[in-house]
Amino acid sequence: MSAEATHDTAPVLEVRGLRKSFGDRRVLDGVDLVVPAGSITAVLGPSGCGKTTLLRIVAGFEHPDAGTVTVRGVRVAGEGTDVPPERRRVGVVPQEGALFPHLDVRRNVGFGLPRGAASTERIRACLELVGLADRADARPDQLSGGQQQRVALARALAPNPSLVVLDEPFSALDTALRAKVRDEVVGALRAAGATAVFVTHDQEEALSTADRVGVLLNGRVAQCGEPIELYRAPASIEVARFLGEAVVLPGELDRDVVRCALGAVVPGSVPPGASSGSFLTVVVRPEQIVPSADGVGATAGETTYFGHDGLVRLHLDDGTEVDARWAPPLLPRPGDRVGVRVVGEVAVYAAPGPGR
Amino acid sequence: MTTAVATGSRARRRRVELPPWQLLGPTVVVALVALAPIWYLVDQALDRGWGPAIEEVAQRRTVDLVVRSTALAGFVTLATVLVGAAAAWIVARSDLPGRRVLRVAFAMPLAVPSYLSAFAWVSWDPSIAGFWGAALVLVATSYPYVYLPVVAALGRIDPAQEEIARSLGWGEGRIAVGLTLRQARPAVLAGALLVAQYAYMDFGAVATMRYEAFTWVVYGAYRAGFNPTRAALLSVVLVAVSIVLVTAEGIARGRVDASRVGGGAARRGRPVRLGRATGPAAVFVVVVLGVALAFPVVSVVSWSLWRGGEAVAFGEVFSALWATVGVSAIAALVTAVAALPVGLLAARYRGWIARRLEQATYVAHTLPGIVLAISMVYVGVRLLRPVYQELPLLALAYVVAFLPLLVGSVRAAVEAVPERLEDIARSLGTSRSGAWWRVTLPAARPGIAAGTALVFLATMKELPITLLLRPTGTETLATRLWGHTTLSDYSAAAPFALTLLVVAAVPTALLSGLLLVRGREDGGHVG
Repeated sequence: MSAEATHDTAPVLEVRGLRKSFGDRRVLDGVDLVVPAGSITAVLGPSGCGKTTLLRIVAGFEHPDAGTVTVRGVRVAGEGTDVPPERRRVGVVPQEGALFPHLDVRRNVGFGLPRGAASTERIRACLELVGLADRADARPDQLSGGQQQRVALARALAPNPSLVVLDEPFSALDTALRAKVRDEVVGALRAAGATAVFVTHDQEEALSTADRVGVLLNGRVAQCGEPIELYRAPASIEVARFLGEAVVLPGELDRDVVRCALGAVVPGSVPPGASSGSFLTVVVRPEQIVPSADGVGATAGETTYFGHDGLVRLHLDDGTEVDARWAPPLLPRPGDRVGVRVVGEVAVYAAPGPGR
Repeated sequence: MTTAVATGSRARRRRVELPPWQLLGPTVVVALVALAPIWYLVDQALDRGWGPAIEEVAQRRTVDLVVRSTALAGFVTLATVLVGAAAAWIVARSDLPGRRVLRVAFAMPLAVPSYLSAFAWVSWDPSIAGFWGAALVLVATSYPYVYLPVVAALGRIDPAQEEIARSLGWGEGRIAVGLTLRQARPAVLAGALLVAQYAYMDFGAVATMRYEAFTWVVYGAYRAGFNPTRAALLSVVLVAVSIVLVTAEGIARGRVDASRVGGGAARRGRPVRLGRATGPAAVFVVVVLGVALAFPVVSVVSWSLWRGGEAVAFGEVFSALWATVGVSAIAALVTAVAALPVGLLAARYRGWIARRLEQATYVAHTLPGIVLAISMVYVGVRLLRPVYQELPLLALAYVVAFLPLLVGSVRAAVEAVPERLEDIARSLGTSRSGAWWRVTLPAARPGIAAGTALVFLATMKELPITLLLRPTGTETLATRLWGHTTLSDYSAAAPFALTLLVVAAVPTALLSGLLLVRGREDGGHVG
């Protein structure tokens, strides 16, 4: 497929200042997004945040009120341009597949191809890519949900598009199937060397699947970056809270460390303008709080058990309550005395209120 | 409206923008053809100016006529909604034994022409003539127009809804009426609108039952007195009623979507146990099928037994059959071609122009066949003299008459195809009109085919237009039957009646089969 795409350094998709309202409701309020060639980018946001609208604008099904969309250096929407969907070379994989019900698998995949021997070969290659070469004659209603999703991907990949967009592609599948189909789909996208954008409301799915994640909050991309970077150094407390469980504590900068209820913690970076003595807000992930005999004293409260780990509510001796994520053998019983400390760097933000 | 867009792919989005010319052009042509009879009517009605026209309409006997026709149409519509919805629920949702057979059997009365049913009753007991006789025959022949769309709609409802209602403490009866049938409301309304129009414009039943409704009086004005101005004026009043009906339908049409929520495979609902209601349900089935189906068929067969030693004129029967099938097939195909752009436009575009164009094709449906026939004679004499009393003019009249049936089918079938599929097709390099050709219309094919079969069937049974516009010397099964039965020569009419029943029953079965298949596809993963 687009093998040259991986070597291409120019972004495949560039979205700038995208705005869209439906009636009085502002759905997109200045979205910026850059998708590098050959990458899989997740757009993560809560339900109803405009993720799907963003994809529909990129695909050409909706027109933006303002802002531009550029695909492989060609402006396709905004500032007077409106390239129709059929000339954008953007493949679409919708929720629940949406295969053409009157066509078999082979004709679904071949829909965007001209007739001919080359297309027959291409259909076969795409079906092989998604592992469904033996189901070419099946009708859509004879396929499972996961198979339909993979056929939809093969159909989108067949005409060798510049970009593939996937709209909540796994949300209709049940949990057991979901991880498997996700691996298969991502595997096929990587094997094809395709550049892809998928939207999801599932943090774990975004963090585990994508090369880059853009967090869409309140109609804007609040932050975009690699999953590790995003989780470790969220651009705002809001992003931190959205990406997973967050323990938010007040703290005070003391030279290189921040002193808070969990003791002295090491900040990843210090907000501009902060100096020793500045009041700050610290965000600690529950899994950063580990047992330590000489750490901060606490009494164990309720635990919530998840199997692979558990969440324990700790009542620190100064009265603060925090949640820590520990492996099951380490989980204390309610009432046990424990000592804790924070490992790794924590995210730090300027504190609101009188501290300033 | 705009919020429907905001909810994304699951909602039905219709464009307010102007449709492309490839769609708009053919639709405007079809709408103009459909409106041609109105042009004649107004022209003819105002023949002697406004004064005499108003005087004529304001007459006591005209008011009485409106009251009589409206009483009949109102009663028939109400009764067909009850009968049609009950029959659909029994077939789709209850555990009554033999539902598979009943599913088709309930649709079969579509094969019985109203005049044939009416003759059967009058030949049995002439005193049945009048309001109740006409009402009985109209209900018996038109309730499938409610039954068929409701069965299809019930098949699309997610059974989980009924289970949730039960878990919330609702009983079976309350669920059937308050949830299941309520969701079929758009289908019930669409069917009721068709039945109301059918009741206003039917000629055979009221003529045979000697009930002085519009169509019979118009026929009298045209035939006996040759009073075209009064015929046209009365027809204008009928058109006014029609516009009221079409507008009411537009307002009342609920936007209830029988959509499944969430993913997973569609399931067949568990049939509702009738229990003590099994007896009454069985009685209902026997009475409906007995009145609508068994009685006319048994009557026709018994007429054949009356015959003495006369041989059946097989040659006449064959040529009449050939003419009937040929004319009906041409009419159905031409109507389908005309209905495609209108139905597509109505399903995919909103706004003033789209709505008016669709309504234009509906208005002609309430012109009684007899008025349409007279007006097509006029159009033929004025504009299309070379084809006057020829096949093309007859076919054109059928197209105008049956367009609403097919436009409704095409529209419903297209609406059932998610617009998302068109979006996908476009992202794969197909233009918008290309997506309609390659995705929307093929996916909607079962529904469109069902509508075409419906038109084929309706054309075979059609009487007044055929009577007035058939090419000279051509006799169809319907005109032969009419000729013999008006002279009370039931035994001579029998072979034509039997043949008509048999050949009209075939497309009826086809139609039911198609609807059942469509119900299954709608239950699949896709869409």
